[in-house]
Amino acid sequence: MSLQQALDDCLIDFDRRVLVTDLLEKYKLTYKEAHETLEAHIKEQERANTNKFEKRFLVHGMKANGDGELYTIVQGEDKLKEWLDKLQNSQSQLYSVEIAGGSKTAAPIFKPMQHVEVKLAKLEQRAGAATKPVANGVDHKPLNGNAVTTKPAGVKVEPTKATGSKLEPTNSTSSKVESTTSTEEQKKSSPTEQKGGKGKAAVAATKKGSINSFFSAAPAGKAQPPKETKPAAASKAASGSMENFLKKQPTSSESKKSPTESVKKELTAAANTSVQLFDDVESEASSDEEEKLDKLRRKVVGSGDESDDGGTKPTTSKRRRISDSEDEEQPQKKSTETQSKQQQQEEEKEAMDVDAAATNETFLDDDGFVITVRPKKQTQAAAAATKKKTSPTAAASSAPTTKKKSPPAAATKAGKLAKETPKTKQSNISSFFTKK
Amino acid sequence: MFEARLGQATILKKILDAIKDLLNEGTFDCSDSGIQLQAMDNSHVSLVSLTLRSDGFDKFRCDRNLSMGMNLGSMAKILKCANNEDNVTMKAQDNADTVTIMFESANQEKVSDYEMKLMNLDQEHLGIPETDYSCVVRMPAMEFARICRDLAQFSESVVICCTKEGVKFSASGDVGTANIKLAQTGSVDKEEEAVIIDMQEPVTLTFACRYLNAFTKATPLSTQVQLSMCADVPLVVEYAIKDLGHIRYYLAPKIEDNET
Repeated sequence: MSLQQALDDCLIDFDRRVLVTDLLEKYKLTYKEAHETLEAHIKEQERANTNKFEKRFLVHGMKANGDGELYTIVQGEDKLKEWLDKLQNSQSQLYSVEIAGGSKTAAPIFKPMQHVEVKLAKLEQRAGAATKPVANGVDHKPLNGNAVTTKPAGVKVEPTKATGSKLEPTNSTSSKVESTTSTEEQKKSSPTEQKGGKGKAAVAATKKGSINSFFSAAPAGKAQPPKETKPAAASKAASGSMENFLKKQPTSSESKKSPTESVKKELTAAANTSVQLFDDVESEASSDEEEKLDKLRRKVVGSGDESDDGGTKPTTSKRRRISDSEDEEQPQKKSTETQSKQQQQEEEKEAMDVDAAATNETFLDDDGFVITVRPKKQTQAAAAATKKKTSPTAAASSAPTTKKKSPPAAATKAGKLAKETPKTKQSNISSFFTKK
Repeated sequence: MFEARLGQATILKKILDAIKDLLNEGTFDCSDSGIQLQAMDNSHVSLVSLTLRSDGFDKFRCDRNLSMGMNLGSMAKILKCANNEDNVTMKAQDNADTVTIMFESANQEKVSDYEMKLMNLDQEHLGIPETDYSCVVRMPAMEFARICRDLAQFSESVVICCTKEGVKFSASGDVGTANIKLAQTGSVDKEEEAVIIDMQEPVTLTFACRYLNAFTKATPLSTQVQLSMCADVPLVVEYAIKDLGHIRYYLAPKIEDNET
């Protein structure tokens, strides 16, 4: 659609400020064409409807006191004349049009053109200009006299920094002078800014990624040996449930804060996660509500043997580990507590399914832990249960290897630290002393 | 008229070094009993109290009580111009807005004087109550500095736990945990190497490492440091300045944050 057509069809809303740059951009016109069409339309409108249009002009010139160039936008032709008189080598172009007094929301005062597409007929390209300078994804066209690259600068005086050399081509054909310097300036400034930003990012990226760029990710087979050096990694290899348990352990302190939430999650979660729930619920001071939730959870879990067994024993092992990391006075108390709690849980279990309990075998193992064996579930979960039973007991045993002790100890210490650090705050010295 | 003369500029240099990291400015209150400075650091977490007795100076004259507000950084710069063995004299007229610091070489052949502008500092003076501390630990100043420096690598905070067995400095952070235990020394040949604990009841307090390390800038002033602790009371780190006075640092303990 041409500009003329758009004007005829009243598609351009002059209630808002219409920028010539927008028109140039939208209708891919030269300034001259756009200007003439627009002027013609305005005159016609003014004649027909007695509408007054308010024009703004972009003025460019050299300051009288030789302070450099000046770009400004002035309102109305009177002011334009004033400015043209004020400035040396002054030029002006129509910048925006709107209905006088009828303007709604003003369009942005300064809106430079985003895209410039100019085909220059009969223009020989210089050898050096064969490669277009591209900055920021925008092609920088060589500036020529008849190039329509209207990118008006800011409203206020800005381009004192603008280089005069860039203006030279514009002087060649004064009728089509555009505010090319501002374009240049913009092109210069914004890319540098962005380059700066990009540069920083690039530097950061190179700094961070430099070593990674040289080394590829190690294959899985080779990645294992270094893991073995870490005690935590060794325990990871032990069993999946153990791994989960260790992973979740540091967060247990957090989950303690919102036990109900975790319980809800647990209810929806798979059986293996019930281990956490069990810890959380157990670690809380046992209230009726929690007991109910515990029972509910057991129901949901269904057979529960695998998970419960798995649940209780990691719990004890965890407690054991925590207690190991505590002061020497603590562990005995805690171990007795865990045992008593475990017994309570076992009793609960028995109460829950009395029939099954009749066939259960409960005994104390060598380490002093209560073990309940249910022959009913042996068919399905025999292998898994034995695994789970053996591994937690091994983990929980008083003589366990230092490997297994150390990671949880570290975890608990880290937990302690996490607890300690937010708990303390620096007090003010003046609160301790009175003012004289 | 105020005039105070010290035989060795090095002492004053050390004093300035000991306080200038914590305090940018300070008011030296001069009276016939000596010179005192009390100021809180910018964050109001620690307090520095410096006392220089008049009898510790080679010459001391203070006709009227005088408060001299000084930029301690500037004063430290001036003092750097002195040789360690130089005599140093501070002079100020009553109601003067400058202080003159004069250095005289030992053989009196070189005399240099520096005039420094005084400042009007509106600083609060705090009344420090007499406190019976539950634990008073005397230990080598170098050792304390070393401990503070080492533990600062582990955490921002140091827990000082004082029991009858000894004093334990602990810090735990991402790196790990550090515990340094010092037992009370039974008998030592050198008094400055002794660790002496005077304990009424065990105390465990947490302090910011940063400030403790700032306090240890006073280590060159004294071979021994005295740590006085009591529950919910600021720690006092005291360095005696031989024959002249002392510098005391008060550090507010880190308290449990009930909000979290």
